[in-house]
Formats: sequence, structure tokens, C-alpha cells
Amino acid sequence: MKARFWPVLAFAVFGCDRAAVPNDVEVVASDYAFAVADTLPAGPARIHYRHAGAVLHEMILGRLREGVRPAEFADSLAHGRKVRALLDGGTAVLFGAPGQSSFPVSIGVTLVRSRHYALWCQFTDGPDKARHMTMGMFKMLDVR
Amino acid sequence: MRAGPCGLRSWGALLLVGVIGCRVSAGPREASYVGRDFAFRGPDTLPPGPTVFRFKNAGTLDHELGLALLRPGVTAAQAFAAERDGASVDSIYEADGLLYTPFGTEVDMGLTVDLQPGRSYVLICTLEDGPKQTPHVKLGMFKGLVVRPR
Ligand SMILES: [Cu+2]
Ligand SMILES: [Cu+2]
Repeated sequence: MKARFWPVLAFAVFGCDRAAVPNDVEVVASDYAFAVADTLPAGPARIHYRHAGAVLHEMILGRLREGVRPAEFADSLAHGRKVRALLDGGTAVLFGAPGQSSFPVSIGVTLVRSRHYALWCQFTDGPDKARHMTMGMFKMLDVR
Repeated sequence: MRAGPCGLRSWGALLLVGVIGCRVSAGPREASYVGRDFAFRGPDTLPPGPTVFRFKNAGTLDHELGLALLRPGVTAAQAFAAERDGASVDSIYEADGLLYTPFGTEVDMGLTVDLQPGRSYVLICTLEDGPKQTPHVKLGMFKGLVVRPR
């Protein structure tokens, strides 16, 4: 008789979509770098942003189109070329100001296996100054 | 060999745990907004709590969904006036993020926010269609969002 309750047990234990629990990833922005793991696991993730710099920064997250090499994307960014055609859809952006150590907005994304994601900051510290992404605020994330 | 009432109760409790557990792990609520030339469509009010904002560009131009938490005491009308006049918004916004969707693309990312009860947020698109063009915010791409009290 108890066998009929196994489906109930199975539902209780496995019924929840465990894959739906996102992996929390923290990115720390300093002057002028993003600190985060180089590789991330595939699946749902919440990308949190922490500002630890002395100047304004942003964190742009975009997924490279299939077949686009990370070096090609980095080169386009470094030379100020438009990167829209190299990205798979739109981007998500978080902004951080000095003193804003914890940020109440995060990016929800389902990281796709074997794809590359780029993080970059396009801000400058004033007219005629270099964009932060050319000063080190560029990071490529690989999804395994 | 029959499961007695106690047995049934424990299986029932297990099922309840499963169902409640699923509800807990079902994740934050989703709030979907659509951007057109030049307006946002979507809810004006939302309940407090963890929420993922999604954005779809249904217009013929590039659009973004900027989401900003207003500092306490600041109204959406004041935020709009600052954006319209090109004034600094440092004293207006407490935190912000955005989803950028060029025309013809989709963004499969969302902004996850723990919406604060009783607080106000604004949705905004500050893009321009070229040099010296009017920013979309001045054309109508601005929307106030109020979070209901708990
Ligand atoms: Cu920066
Ligand atoms: Cu727009």
C-alpha cells in the first residue's frame, strides 16, 4: 500500500525545479577593473554589483553572438567600434557611485553553456579621457 | 498493512512541504514592460518584494528600460522635471539599472529588485535617435511606479 505514496515523496523531494534556484555571483568594480570569477556555471544566475572605486562606474553585461571570438569583441571595444552586431540581443547595465557598497538591483540571467559573456564600463573621467574599458574595465566570462 | 491516519497525515505533511517548498523556490515575481515609440506599457503599481523586471522593445527604434528608485520624498514629477531639464539626478535616484534593447533584438536578462513597500520608482528611456535629437524621456518614455504598502 505504501508504494502509492512514493510519487508523493518523489514530488516533495524532486518536484521543485532545483535548476530555478539562481547562482549568486558578485562582481566588484574598482578603479579600473572588475573582480569576478573567469568561469561561471551554466543556468540561472543573479549578478550582483558592488562598487569599490573612487569614481563613477557602470557594469554592462552582454552575451557574445555564437562564433564571435572574445578577442574580436575586445578589439572592437578597445577601438571604439560599435559592438551591437557582435552581441546576442540587448544588454543589462548597473550603475555604481562611490560609497555605494551594496547595490539593491541585480541582473537576472540564465547563463548559456559554452557561451561568452562580456562585462565592460564605457564611462570616462572627463572629456578627452580614456574610456574605462580601455583602462582595464573589461572582463570576459566563460560559461561551463 | 494499510496506512493508518497517522501515516496519511505524515504523507500529507510531506506533500505540503513539497508544495510550499516549490512556491518558495519558484523565485521572484515577474513584471513585464513593453517599450513603444514613445511610451512604456506595464503596471503602474506593484506589490512589494523580490521582482524581476523584463523588457520587450515593440517599437521601431532602439529603446531601454531604465529603472530607478527615487530617494524618499522625491516624486516622479520631480524626477521627470530633472530629466526634462537635463539637471543632475544624483539627489533624485538612490539606485538604478537598465535593460538596453536595440531595435529588432530582445534582451533575455532581467533586473532583479527587492521592491520596497511604499516607495516609488520610475521607468525611463534616455536614448536619443541621433545627435541633437530629443531624448525619448521627453517624448513620453517615462513612467512612475508605486510599490504598495505591505
Ligand atoms: Cu568605469
Ligand atoms: Cu526609447
